[in-house]
Amino acid sequence: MAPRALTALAVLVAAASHLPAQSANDLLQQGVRAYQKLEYDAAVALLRESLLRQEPAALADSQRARALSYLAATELFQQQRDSAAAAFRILVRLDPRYRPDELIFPPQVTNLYEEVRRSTKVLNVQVPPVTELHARLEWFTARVVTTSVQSVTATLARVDGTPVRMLYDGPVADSLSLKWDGLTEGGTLPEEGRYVLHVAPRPATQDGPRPLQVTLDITQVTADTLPWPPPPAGPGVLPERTSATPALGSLAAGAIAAGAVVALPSLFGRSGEATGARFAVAATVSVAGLVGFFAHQPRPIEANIRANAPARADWQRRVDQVKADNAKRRGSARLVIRAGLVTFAERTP
Amino acid sequence: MKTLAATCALVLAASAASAQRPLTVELRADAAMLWVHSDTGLTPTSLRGPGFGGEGRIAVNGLLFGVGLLEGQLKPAGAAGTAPPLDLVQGTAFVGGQVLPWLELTAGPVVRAYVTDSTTERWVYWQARARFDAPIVVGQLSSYLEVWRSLASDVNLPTGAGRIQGGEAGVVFQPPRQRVWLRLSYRMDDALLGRPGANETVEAITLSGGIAVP
Repeated sequence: MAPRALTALAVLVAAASHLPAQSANDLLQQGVRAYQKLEYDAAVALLRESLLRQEPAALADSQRARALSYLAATELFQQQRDSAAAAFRILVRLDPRYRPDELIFPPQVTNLYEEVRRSTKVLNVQVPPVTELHARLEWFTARVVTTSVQSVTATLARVDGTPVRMLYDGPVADSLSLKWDGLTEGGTLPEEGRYVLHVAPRPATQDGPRPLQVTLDITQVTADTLPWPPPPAGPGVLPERTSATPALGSLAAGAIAAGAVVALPSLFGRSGEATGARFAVAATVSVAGLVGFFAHQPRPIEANIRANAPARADWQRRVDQVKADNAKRRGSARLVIRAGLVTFAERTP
Repeated sequence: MKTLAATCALVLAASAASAQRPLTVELRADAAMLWVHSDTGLTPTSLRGPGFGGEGRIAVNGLLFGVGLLEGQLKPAGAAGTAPPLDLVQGTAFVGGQVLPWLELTAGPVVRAYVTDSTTERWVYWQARARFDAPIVVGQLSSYLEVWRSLASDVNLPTGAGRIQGGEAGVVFQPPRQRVWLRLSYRMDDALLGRPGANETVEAITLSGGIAVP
């Protein structure tokens, strides 16, 4: 054991002397190569060091998962099962959907991973950063991921805690597409503002996964309504009512003639004196004008109405279509949902 | 006379421009209430009384030819009337045309006589007329306004004659699909004498009946 320990120590020292100058990715690549050469001590040292690097030199999540996979496998081959399981637990919490590559790792490694995954209760929520949708017609989708069968409750609430909509309450075996049609519990559009998507395991336990929350900033973009199509017009459309012009013309003809009867003495006589009997004539002429006015009141022209019926029906159909479209537009305003980071929420009993 | 000739020429030229139209004959009978006011420089007098008359006209190719006659028996109006009764006789002849569907222009001589037991006052003058028709209910009811003015005048009074002008307005009713028609009108005709301030005025409210023969 002593020579072996000395060898490992020497490798570690040699590796550590190069560490500060190397990036986390380089360390990961070297650790993988050491694993492939069965130099497990060196591999452990390199992989651990790659995982310890802090921002901005830290590994990306995908590379971190890869490093954890190799680290756990190395630990397992070094008979350090607990250390291997601990590495896998970190991996499961990092990305519950991650699976070690079965072409790279032997079954004892992947089996251990599955065993750890089943025993590690993890809840994760993945939300697209920006979603645009027409309420009632389209969906906002978040993905809830669990490592084992887990009952969860997903609710949407205002930032002050006022409930808006219960989105899901039930078991999740592996993952769930959590869909929201953009409406409140009452079927109306939500007001603009900040909301919180809260996903919690049920029942809540101290040793279970912690509930998660995502802030959602919701804004509305109201669509313009369409204008009504113009009513039938043009040379192909016949007038459906008689014109009012003849009525006014008749009234004017009577009024002018009656006025002339009254005014003739003033217009043509020298003294302006004349018999008052002319007023009776003027009244008669005025009555004639009124008769003409009422006789020429606009009336519907049935034949033209029948002739125009197809065009008018077509227009009405288009109006109804526009009305329906506008009703849809008014009822399905476009929502823009901007999601924040997924954070842990307080445990609630 | 130059004015008269120019007016006649204008009327006939305008009428000649009209399209070919069939010959129509129109006859009219009038029953009127007449008022005559005379101020010849002595005592102003007012007389009134019924009158009857008629007119006939022929229209062909837009040209009009017509004659008319009016007779009335007038008596002093009011309790203070001292003027002698007189008869009014007026004859008219005219020629003209339908220049537009709503405009008729005519011109011609007029002879008017006030006849008493002892004297006869006779006016002779040429006048031009313009008549405007306005339908109220097409083919059934219409109104019209007619104005005229003398082009030349003469009277057998020492004062001589001045201008004569007047107008008439009324309403015409023609029953549907009938050739007969009725007319109610009021007319005012004012004739100046040669002496300042002297004039004679004739008013009439006329109920007429007519028939048109195409």
